[in-house]
Amino acid sequence: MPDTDRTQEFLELLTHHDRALGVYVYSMVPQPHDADDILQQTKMILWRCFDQFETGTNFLAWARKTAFHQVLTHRRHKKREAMPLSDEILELLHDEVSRLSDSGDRRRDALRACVTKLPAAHRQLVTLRYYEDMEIDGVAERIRSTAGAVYRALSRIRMSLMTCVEKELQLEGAEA
Amino acid sequence: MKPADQFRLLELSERYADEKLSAMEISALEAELRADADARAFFAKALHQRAELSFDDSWHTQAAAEVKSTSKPIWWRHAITAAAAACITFGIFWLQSGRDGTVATLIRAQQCQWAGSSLPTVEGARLKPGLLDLIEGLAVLRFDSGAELVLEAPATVEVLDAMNCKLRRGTLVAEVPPQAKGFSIDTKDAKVIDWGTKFGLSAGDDGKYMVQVLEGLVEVDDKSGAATKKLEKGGKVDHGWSRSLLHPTAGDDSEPSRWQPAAVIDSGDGWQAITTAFGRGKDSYIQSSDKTAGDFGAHPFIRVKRSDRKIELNRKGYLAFDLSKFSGRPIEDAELVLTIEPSELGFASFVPDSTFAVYGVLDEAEDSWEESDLTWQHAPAHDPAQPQRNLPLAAKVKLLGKFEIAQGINRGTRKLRGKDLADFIAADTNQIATLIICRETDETADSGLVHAFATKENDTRSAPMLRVKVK
Repeated sequence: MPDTDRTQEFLELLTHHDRALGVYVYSMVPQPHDADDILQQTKMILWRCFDQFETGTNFLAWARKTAFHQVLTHRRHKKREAMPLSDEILELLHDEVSRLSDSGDRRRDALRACVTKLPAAHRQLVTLRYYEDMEIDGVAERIRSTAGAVYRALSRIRMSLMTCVEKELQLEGAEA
Repeated sequence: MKPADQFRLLELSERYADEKLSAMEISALEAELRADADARAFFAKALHQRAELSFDDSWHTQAAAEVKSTSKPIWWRHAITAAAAACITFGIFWLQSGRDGTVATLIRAQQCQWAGSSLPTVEGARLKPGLLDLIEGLAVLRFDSGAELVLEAPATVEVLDAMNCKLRRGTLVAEVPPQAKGFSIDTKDAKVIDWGTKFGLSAGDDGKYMVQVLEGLVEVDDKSGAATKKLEKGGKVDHGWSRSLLHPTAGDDSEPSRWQPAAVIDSGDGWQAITTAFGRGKDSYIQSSDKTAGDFGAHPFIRVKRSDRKIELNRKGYLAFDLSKFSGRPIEDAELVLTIEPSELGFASFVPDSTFAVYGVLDEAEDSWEESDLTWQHAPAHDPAQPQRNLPLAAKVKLLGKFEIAQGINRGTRKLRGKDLADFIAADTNQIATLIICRETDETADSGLVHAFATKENDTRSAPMLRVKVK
């Protein structure tokens, strides 16, 4: 069992990387309910296996790897009709998402800045969908449009957010 | 990576998150992510951004704070009204348009080939006023007013502004939501103004046109000075577009589906086309299983499959064309046109590029099959116990030709043209000809894709068509 100092160290690391780990799992499993289950499970395993973690090495990378195994386990248990992507593709996505996850805080700040720059109507749509967690059909009903049109509108908005985030990151890089 | 591909992947990522991708879309996505590193990186970025937006609310708190300080004292999400919702819709349309002079978006381009268009023709392209010339495929334009046009090749459309366009020639189906009331489509001899509805419109560069209203109300303004006509649901104006005598027998008007080309079309150069919807035409399929119901004739598709692994899953399509229009006239050439129907059954990954064979039934006594009683037990050129389940009985048919569908393709049309088909049609004596569609290619694993082709019962895609050139 880890001693008190180790407990303190674990809590500090976990708190520090909490958002990055959460965003990682949400990227790999976009359904919030499933993602939350996986996150909880992962954190328990991290705590149980913390004595295997070497202080000074990359905690986030270790946590992501642990979470990835939980994602695979979860996918295997899930109903077949959910048609998840294969383990092989998930592993490739894991590599890509991990890379993005390493620049987590800078990305978060850039995204914040970019959301405030959105035209009001676009920001409202993003809020309905991701803040209020409304289903597409609900959003469509709310703005009196069709599901197809909402998907297209969201894609357009997210495209502009992406372009904006990349620009912000480049700017930041140039200043540093 | 092209913006259109990025846009497509973003939409896929969103629908993936909602678990709304079909098995086929999943397998196509898998293949793309495996093969294309750029697509993979972009898709991961899309998922990551989505996760950032939905995992925590930091972005929202900051955005809300800024909005609060600059404009409304109460954040809208606490008190949204129907009126405000309508304004949001309007705002989105308004914000998307105007700045760069664009007025519409090309939202779908299925298997499209374009001629000398003055506008960009990739999916997702924003369109300024200009000309679109579609040679093959199906394209969907969404005007910023909300009006959507489905162009059916061949068609030439001039985009004018968010509320106006001109159909120079060809066929389109328009769907106009309430906010785009008044959307108008000009043709050479008429102007069609839409009052919130869905309608089909065909026009030729010679001025002929036809309007058929599927829902709502449409105003047709003939430029010859005749009084404006108001057409309601089910209403139709046919200004010389199709010869009345060549029309299909009166169908069931109580269920108007999307407008399809007339059952007999005379393109004027000796070529005439009929679909299975004409006269005694019929289309259905059979499946190698005792359990299947015999109501395939009412399906909007025929299903075709070869499976040597699961013999009860073999399927063959049957088409019959009413040839009475060509009776006694010398036939020079013929072409069969089938429209691929996206199939929800099976995985495209397990079926390689496929070859299909089309056979003609030789014994004319067998042409009398009915859609309602075509079954595995009872079908032309067929024996329920035959060993080769995906093919007809070789002695009772003539091979008319073959066509290919590449792996993963689930849209578009396939054409079969040639002397064998023309000779077979010319040799007909009872004014009806039965064709059998078979897939020669087996699946490589269980649960392979079942191919499908639209039938006359299909609301969105064209029925099987036989084009015949008479002397």
